[in-house]
Amino acid sequence: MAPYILRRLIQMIPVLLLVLALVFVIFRMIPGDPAQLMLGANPDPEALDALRTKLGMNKPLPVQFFEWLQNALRGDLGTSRISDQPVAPLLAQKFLITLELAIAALFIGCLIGIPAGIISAVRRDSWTDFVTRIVGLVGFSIPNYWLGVLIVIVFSVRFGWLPPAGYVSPTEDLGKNLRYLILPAITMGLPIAAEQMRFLRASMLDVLQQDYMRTARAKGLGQSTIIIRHALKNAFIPFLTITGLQLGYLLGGSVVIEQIFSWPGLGWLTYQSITVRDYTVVQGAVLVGATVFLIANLLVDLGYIYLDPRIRPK
Amino acid sequence: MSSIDSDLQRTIQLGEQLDPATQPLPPKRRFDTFRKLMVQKASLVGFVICAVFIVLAIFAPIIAPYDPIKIDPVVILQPPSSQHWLGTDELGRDVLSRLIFGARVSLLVSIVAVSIALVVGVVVGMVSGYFGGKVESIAMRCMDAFSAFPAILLALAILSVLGPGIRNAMIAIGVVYIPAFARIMRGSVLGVKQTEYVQAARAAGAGDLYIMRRSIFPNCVSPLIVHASLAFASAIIVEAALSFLGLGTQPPTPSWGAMLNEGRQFAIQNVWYSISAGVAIFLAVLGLNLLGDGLRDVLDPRFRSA
Repeated sequence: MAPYILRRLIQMIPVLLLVLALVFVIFRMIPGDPAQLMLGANPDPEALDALRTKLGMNKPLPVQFFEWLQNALRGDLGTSRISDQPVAPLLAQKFLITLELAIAALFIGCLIGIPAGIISAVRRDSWTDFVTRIVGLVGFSIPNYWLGVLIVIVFSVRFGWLPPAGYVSPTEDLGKNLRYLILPAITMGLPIAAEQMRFLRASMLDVLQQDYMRTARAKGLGQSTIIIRHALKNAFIPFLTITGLQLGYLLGGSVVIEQIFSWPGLGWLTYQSITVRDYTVVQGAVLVGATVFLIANLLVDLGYIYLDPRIRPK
Repeated sequence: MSSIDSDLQRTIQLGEQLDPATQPLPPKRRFDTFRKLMVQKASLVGFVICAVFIVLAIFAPIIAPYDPIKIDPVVILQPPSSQHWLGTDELGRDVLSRLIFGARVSLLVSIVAVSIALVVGVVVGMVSGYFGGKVESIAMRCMDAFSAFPAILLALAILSVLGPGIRNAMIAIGVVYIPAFARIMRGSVLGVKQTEYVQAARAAGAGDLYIMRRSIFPNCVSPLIVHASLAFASAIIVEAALSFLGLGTQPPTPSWGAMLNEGRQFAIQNVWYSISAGVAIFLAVLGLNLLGDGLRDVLDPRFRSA
């Protein structure tokens, strides 16, 4: 197992280097001069020159890339132009806030999506299946930011049950933290549940038609054992792919939801930094988002090995 | 056309007949596909929803009851009434008219973005699948790098560099979807290039470009169509998200995403303002998803039983 993990990590290196190169190229494509853009129209020539030197922009492009690469690999992602803080610790702090929301959303998604998918597949073509599929399709097509707006209108504006937006650290007040967490987690969790339900239903239907399921029934195993031990474990492989992708998206791409609920995570920071043209932070946040996405894919691959002994390396 | 060319043409046509299952759809079979699609209730609903939005977008100036950007301070934030079916916004503009014109923006952005992704993705996928080797390795690793970014994050990164606006949003969304089309195209090409008619064409002396264009591409269209319909739905969601954040379509041009964002601030005065924009996005996405699922069932035999 360990050599396989090592091999997968080594395989990740060229992709990660390409991601780094891509992030570098994207942020060097800023029309004109990034330093000038940061300082706005008619900047002071001395300040402009100082910023260019600080950003290392007077050097040739390949040199700039390798210097940036060296720093990035050491964990130095530069300094925020606005807060004058090092970017890496800032991103680490925001990442933990996003992680809390992502785990809560994924938990809600699995809590609803897995049972719904199983029931829908086991009771195929029944009313339960029909209703679950309709709800799944609706949930799959609803943009989560609209769902967020609706949830705020209903639960905060109309009934006043929960706060519409904000954040309190769990170390400060866990109760308040959970109150602020519920609405954004539900907003992100429901579409996840819909997608999981659709995938799990499709893969369960496929597995339920296999010969080994007939054998399991023929040897007199109970329905719950057949579903959980035989069907679910096999149906979980494609399901794991979609869950891994969802986790990657949640960690790297929850920009709009964090904005709606003023949840000060990575997505919120990315958007705020774009509006004030703090490119060092945007660049770092995009890099972190992509790296997390790659790691999520790696975890999915490792999950396959756990679930399916046939693909376990010899 | 020289006689060598016409011989080549005949040989390739002969080769193509070796495997009728992978031939491009003739007009009759194309109609059959449409008929099969319309037999399924879900696909029919999806088709009708999409058709309604296309009609609304094309004939917006005729259908919309008011000018979507005309400000009327007398009727600010009115609830729905017989004059304004969905009420008015914070500048007194008719919400229904803005919604109808918003369909134009969503349709335009998704068509242009998906076209960009389709053209670039098809070329990258075709070249890497056909030539293989280092070309494939480099191209597909680049696609892997692009795929490592969550869609909205990559679109935001590109927009933060290019600046906000509808044109840049189209480019950003288009770039985001390139890897998926490239992968699908490459996968199809890898299968098709092994077929006998492609080998026959090669044996007859057809050039690479000719084989790619005439023998391979027409047989890779089905999965591209299915993915394009689902990519349209996704592009509408991403465009609305970017406009919601103020980075996509810029005021005063009506956009569903921007309306959703503006409307949520006035949820108490006119709740329909925000809800109607969301319903429009939801219906358009639902229609495209239903149509996409139906197309997949009809065109991809692996999904027929599911």
